[in-house]
Amino acid sequence: MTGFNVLGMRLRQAVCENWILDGVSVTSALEHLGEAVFDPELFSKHENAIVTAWNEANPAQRITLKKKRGLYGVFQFLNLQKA
Amino acid sequence: MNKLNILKTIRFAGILFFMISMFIFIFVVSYSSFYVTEDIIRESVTEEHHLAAILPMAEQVTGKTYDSKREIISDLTGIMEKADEGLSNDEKMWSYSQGVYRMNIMKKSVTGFLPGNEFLFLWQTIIAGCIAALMFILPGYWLRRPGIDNDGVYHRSVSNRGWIGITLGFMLVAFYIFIYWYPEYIVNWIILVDPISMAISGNPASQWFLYGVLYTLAILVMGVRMLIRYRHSNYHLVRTGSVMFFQLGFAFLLPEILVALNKPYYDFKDLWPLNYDFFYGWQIDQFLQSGSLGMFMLLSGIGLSLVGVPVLTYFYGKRWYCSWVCGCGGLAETLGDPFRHLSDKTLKAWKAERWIVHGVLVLVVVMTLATLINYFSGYQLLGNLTQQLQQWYGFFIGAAFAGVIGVGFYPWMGSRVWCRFGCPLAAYLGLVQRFKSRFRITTNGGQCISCGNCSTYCEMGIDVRWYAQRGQNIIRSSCVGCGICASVCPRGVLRLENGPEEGRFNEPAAFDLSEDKVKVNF
Repeated sequence: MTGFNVLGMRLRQAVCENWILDGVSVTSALEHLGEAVFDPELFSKHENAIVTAWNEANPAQRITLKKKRGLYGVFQFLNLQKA
Repeated sequence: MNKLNILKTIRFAGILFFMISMFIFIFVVSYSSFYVTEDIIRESVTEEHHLAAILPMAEQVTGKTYDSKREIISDLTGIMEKADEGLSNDEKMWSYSQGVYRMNIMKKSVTGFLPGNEFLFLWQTIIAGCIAALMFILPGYWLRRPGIDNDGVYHRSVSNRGWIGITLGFMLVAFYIFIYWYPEYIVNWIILVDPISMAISGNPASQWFLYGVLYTLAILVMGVRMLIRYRHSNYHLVRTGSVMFFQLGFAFLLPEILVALNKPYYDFKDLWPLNYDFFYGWQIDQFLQSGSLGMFMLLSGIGLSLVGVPVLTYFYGKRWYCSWVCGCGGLAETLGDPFRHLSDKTLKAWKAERWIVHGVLVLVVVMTLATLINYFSGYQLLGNLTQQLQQWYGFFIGAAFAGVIGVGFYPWMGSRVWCRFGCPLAAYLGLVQRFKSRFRITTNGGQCISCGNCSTYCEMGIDVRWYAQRGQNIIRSSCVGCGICASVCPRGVLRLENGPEEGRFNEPAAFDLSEDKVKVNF
């Protein structure tokens, strides 16, 4: 992961930054996309559509969305990075 | 004519029709002529012994035409005061019943163009006014695209303390003064909404019913504006829908239906300490005399105030009440939306706010405790003191602050004057939100460009940008969670969130902005 073009979605900077620093793979970032989503509450969620599109385009590298959405997931992720 | 011009023409016609309706509305109330008969007095004075005391003096007011409201009010007050002198303390009308009787006598004795034409004038004023307002509001759906568009708010007279804004403010202040203290002078308006009241509860309308009708219509009509304006944001659609629902259902219809069923008038979501008379003796007596429903009202009121408020605020912040449920908040979020940027953002205003709003909270707690002590001691311990306290509180806080200043000053001090400086419930919710809650507005790293839109459109006068620039989360007791700061942000820096308490303050954050480092952190 080297950078982002989120096409109007809002992503959480701290999470994205850590992804770049850790050099995580695109597939791992997409699987954990829920942690980075910063769109306002009650807005429609796009993670599933994005993951589905990836799977259609890359049948060899199928991924599944890890359901760890929400602030708890973010906190867990960021604390993990610090440790 | 193309579509754009048609829409603009409809808008212009809307303004024109609205002005005409307002003009007729004011004309209706100014014109007055009264002719009292004995039958009217018999119909209006419902208590037998009150009627018996008044009737001997009825001749003083019957059989002549009054052309001025002042004269008929003073004559009616005169005979009722006289009648009260002859009654024992338990039988007296006191000022409350006097006011009700006087109002009902005057409503029935109006002569001239109004009797028989109530529906026509109701249509020509209130209903036509709403339709005209919608003619102005609805074309906005096609004229402006989804998304934030605040162009020109400081160039319009109405939203920049210009002459239209100031005039509007004066009219609102005048309206509140009439409603609270001189309802007889607007008796013609109350006559207009009589048919609506008769249809819902079977009772004749009072000034409070007129107030309820106009208040609810203001929230509904301006709520439609809000829905169109923020239609790109599900958060605002749901939130606005919620305040419209709670105002129409819980604040307006349900209490009237309860009255129609011979139950106490009660708004289930109007919580103590905002609803400051919840623990007044007469109110508790009324609950206790109304069977299991009354007991449910009493317990749900106490439960929501003492348990519901802290628990819900812990999970969602005070927004669950202030910008989703509350009537005052509902009006501020709909009718008040064009004025939200007028709130004072200075440090001085914040300091004043904290003293005043917590002062009111202390005041209402002291008053309520005194009232309860007096109630359970059978009015032995404090005697007349609690009544005095209640009268002062009702006059200065309940009427003058919440009503006259709270809404009348919209075009001058923004839409949340009452919520910010005066509301004791907001202060209570705020203390929970500040010290024990999962709510925060998260600042997204170093993305703030210091444009200041968030601070400008904060109706509570919070300098949101100060936090956003430092990369610090916004946790303020006054924040009502309307979510407008997050919506007007061109960079999407802010997000309203509920999450673990740990780390919610995100301190010390000044500065840690990263993407390769601006580290200061003192």
